[in-house]
Amino acid sequence: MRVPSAHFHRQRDDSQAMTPLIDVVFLLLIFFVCASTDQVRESLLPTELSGGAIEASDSIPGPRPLGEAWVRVLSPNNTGVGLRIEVEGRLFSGPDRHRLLSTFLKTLAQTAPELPVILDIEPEVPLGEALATYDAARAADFQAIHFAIAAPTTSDTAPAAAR
Amino acid sequence: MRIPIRARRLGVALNLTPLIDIVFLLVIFFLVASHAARTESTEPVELPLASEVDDDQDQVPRRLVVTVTADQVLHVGGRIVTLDQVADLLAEANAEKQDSAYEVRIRGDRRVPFHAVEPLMIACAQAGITRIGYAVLPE
Repeated sequence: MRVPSAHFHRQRDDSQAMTPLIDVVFLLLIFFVCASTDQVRESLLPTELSGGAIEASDSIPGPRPLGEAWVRVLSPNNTGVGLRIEVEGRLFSGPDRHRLLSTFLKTLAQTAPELPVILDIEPEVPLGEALATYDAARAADFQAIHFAIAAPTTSDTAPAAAR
Repeated sequence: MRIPIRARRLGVALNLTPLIDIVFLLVIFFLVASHAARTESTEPVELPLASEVDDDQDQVPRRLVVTVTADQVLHVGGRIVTLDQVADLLAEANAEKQDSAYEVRIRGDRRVPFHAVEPLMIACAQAGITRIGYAVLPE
């Protein structure tokens, strides 16, 4: 009678032991490659607010004070004019407005980087436009960028949130 | 007849393959779970574009993610909330934050009007939370 030796069986078991591992690892690899292609990594546009009392002590009357750069983002009006950005009397509109604004702000920042920039954004302006303007001011490397908010008691705007 | 005696090793033979399988699965599960918990990007929004972005986002241990969808609805943790509820959350966070930094991340759709987002910034400032950030896509 021939009795099979144990050596043959053990050798075969050892060679097959890696197969399920390789199967699972390959399966997971393929799954995560497929899953990662569908996900876009989000970035962050940081803003540092001034906490506590956010309203300016005085409402700002009529003419804007000197020593501040007011950037007004205007929503489209009824006459068919689209989004516009006004900085110190200069108006930027059209599809190229962000590039022109960025160039202007960079020139301004080279002259006076300590000049506080105040973003006055109209309520109906889309968030994408507001952040594009804020992004242009950050890219110009101003030291302080504020958001103007509507004061709760008056219709005037006051600088509130800071960079 | 003489039957050959199988020479057995002493001790227990340990098959490592299932162990490695399970460990791999657990590692990948926790990687995915921690990533999902960090992003909380459940509500699909069309994010604005920006160039001056900060990609080092893991410095803040605690944050509140507020999503503003295109229909101007606020979401926190997958639930629809009101501005008052967000203000309550911010007040609680401010009371508990002590020395650790706390951040509010606003995931706003690029088409949403600014007046839907502005109250969030005011609520953050009033609650004493100064670090806020907008989720954007790099240009």
